[in-house]
Amino acid sequence: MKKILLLSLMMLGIIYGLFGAVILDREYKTVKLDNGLEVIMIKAGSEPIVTIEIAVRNGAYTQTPKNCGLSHLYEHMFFKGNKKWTSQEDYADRIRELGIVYNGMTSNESVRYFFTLPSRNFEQGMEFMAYAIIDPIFDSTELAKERNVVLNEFNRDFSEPSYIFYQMNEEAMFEKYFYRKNAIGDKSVIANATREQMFEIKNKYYIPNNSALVIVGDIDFAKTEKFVKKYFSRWEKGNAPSFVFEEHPYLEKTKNIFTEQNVSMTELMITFRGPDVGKKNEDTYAMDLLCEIMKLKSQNIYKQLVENGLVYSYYLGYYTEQDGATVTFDAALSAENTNKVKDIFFKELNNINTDGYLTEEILTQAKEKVEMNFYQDIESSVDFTLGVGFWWCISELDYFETYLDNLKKVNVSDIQRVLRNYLLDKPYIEGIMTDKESAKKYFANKEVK
Amino acid sequence: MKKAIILLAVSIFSVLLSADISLFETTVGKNVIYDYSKEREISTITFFFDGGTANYGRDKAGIEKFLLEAIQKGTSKYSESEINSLMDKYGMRIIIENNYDYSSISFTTFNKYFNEVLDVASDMLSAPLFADKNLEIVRKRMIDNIKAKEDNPDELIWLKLNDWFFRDHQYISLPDGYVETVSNISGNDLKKHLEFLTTNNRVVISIVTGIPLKSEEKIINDKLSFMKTRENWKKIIPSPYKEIGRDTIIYSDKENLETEYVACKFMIPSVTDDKYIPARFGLSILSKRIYETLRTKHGLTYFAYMAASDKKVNYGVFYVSTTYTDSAISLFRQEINKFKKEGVTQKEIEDLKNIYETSFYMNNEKSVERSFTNGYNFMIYGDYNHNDKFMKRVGKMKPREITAVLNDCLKNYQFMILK
Repeated sequence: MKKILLLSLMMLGIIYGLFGAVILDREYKTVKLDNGLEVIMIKAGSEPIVTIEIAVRNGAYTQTPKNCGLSHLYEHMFFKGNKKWTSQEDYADRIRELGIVYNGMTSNESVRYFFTLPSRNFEQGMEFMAYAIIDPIFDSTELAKERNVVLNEFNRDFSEPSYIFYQMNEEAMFEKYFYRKNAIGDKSVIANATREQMFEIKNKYYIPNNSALVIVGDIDFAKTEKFVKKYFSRWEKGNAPSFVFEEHPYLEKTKNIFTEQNVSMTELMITFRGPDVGKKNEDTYAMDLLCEIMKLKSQNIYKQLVENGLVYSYYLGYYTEQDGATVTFDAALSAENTNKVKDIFFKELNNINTDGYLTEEILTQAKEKVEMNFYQDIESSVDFTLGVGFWWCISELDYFETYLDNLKKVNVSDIQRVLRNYLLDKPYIEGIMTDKESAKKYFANKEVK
Repeated sequence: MKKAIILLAVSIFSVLLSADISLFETTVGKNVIYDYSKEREISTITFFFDGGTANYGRDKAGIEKFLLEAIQKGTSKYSESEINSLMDKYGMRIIIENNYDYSSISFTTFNKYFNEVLDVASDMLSAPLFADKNLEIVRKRMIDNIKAKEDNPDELIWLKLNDWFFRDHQYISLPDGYVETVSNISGNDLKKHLEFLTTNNRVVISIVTGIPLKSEEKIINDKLSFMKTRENWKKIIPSPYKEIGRDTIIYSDKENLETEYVACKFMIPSVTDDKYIPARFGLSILSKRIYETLRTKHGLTYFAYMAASDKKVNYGVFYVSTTYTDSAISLFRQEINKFKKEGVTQKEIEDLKNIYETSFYMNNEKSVERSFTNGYNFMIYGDYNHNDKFMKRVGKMKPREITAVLNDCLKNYQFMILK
């Protein structure tokens, strides 16, 4: 089925190439090289720049306890030299010569690297990206230094109360296989990482048939295709990695996390399991819309929480993933309002499940809002590139391409269905982070973690 | 895990593209920049109010932030709920910034809703209600946000260093305010201050859009006619800074830190000074060297940089988070000494120019960033196209100029170490 879909997509790519296919009103084209590398080219942006991104299906979800944190360390090593630009100095010099602004990011189900550079240097940028991704050398001395760099990043993260709190909630939700959710990783694993482990990751995941090359900006399709073939055809195909995991066990009952930190605001975080993408995709669209409805400023929950000053800010987010998606309500507030806010949140969920409460008009408004957010987010070609890479990693380009059309098909009963299937009366993680004084005053009965 | 290794902070740059930019006159004088390009789908209007900390004393620190937050809580024409509904309907995004030298508020939406959003914006700035209940909500949020800044070590260290560095200067008035100042700002204070900003102070308005000026000029004139600052505004020059003639290291403690933090400030030429461009460029080159020495060569840190700020009374900064503080500071000093001895190379200048160029283009793509840049440049330099000048100047820059300017600045380091 997947192959047929890909084939269709490729054919569509060719057909669209002739007639000018559009994605979010931008002309695009896809090709697939013989080695399996998927290439997505999009003409976007008003400036003479191009962003070249490599997106790899790697990240925390591919980790075991023995290499927990190494997807991220690998990402750092990508920037450390390769067969052509062998030393770190050569590599950095080339970055500057080409005027490259760059970054890399490792998340649970994707690792992405991008270079943005003037379009006049496009070909050189393609060559540079090809060497960086195909031929890293993982020099031992460089690796030793980079382990320290990552450990400092780790220490910075764990000096921030909000990060500590987030990790506690994630760990409670995914207790059994937390290493598949822990991108920053395990300190001792990072401290002892070896060159061999880097090559292991490279050989297993950093292969063309597990990667996408996304190019967005001031480009010409024919020329781009020529460069793609010239520089990326030599990337050797590997055995397609398996992404079949033992499912993260679902919560049997609600768990409470309560932590005292050196903070001035209390944070309430309620996390549910959401629909995993790739299983029931129709639920993912409905869940996105449910979250958008709950964030609309015209809705009751916003009026009660924000306009009345019960919270400083709140967020309801569905983090679309294949391997344990979550839906999180997160509010920054004064400790004394915690229970009230929680009650309002659950009451609103129940209201939406009541016939007549959620109208078509509200649903349409939420759909329009999501669409507007999309267009606002792709104003920057880097953001556009990263968005495409992210969706390609966790699903296929098709998911991104048809997203807004699928969103339009969602009706009120779909929203109520996901509400009942994933949130109402389902166990969740209730996390509260507060300061010592408020802990004594308002949460005396809570066990401190 | 977002990795902050982009060499330069993209901040105040733009221009270079073939947009159609006009300046036109309204009741705020010839201070409206209209940047049209037909490809744009999204429009932004940004209002800049000149002055910042020069507009109020330490006892009113935070007033402009309070003001720009409070005007969003309802006007004579739109209740708070109506404003919020319109934000959904128009995809309207509001961003406020309160700086030492100015305050700004920007409104972003799709071209087709621009006039409706302009109406909301002008009503917020001309007829806010400042209802007591809403002011208390804003006040509480601001106070808790001020306290919350101390939760994050990266914010805390700069707050503490600022308090020391500007202890005898107007910049001690933190634009976000202090708990004690925000607690005492009244509705009446806000009304008076808004009147001052919109009738007695310099206002710059920067619009970036896909709508041709011809169809908008009359509407804009009409909507903004409540601002009457054509004749009255005066040029704001901040008070001079008295340098401490030595290095200082201040230590501060915070519980539960897994790493130490080092921040450092030192004076550099004002953003309006001709020497600013070589100073900024030189510090970018030094930043690259510091990063490569501390992170790439020695693996001492995840994050280290040097940079130039963009204030009228200006400073350069050095920052590093590390568990090897002494080594990091020692390497910083070695790099500075090396710089003073050897200066920079022409190749370093050329390379950095390439990165700046890419950053300019990236900044141009987003309406909100371009609107900010055009307005900022016009307010500070009287030229929305200042970045062209910047690039031309950089094109002619020689190593000796950078070395000479920075040699004068690289001294009297004020360090703060958070353990």
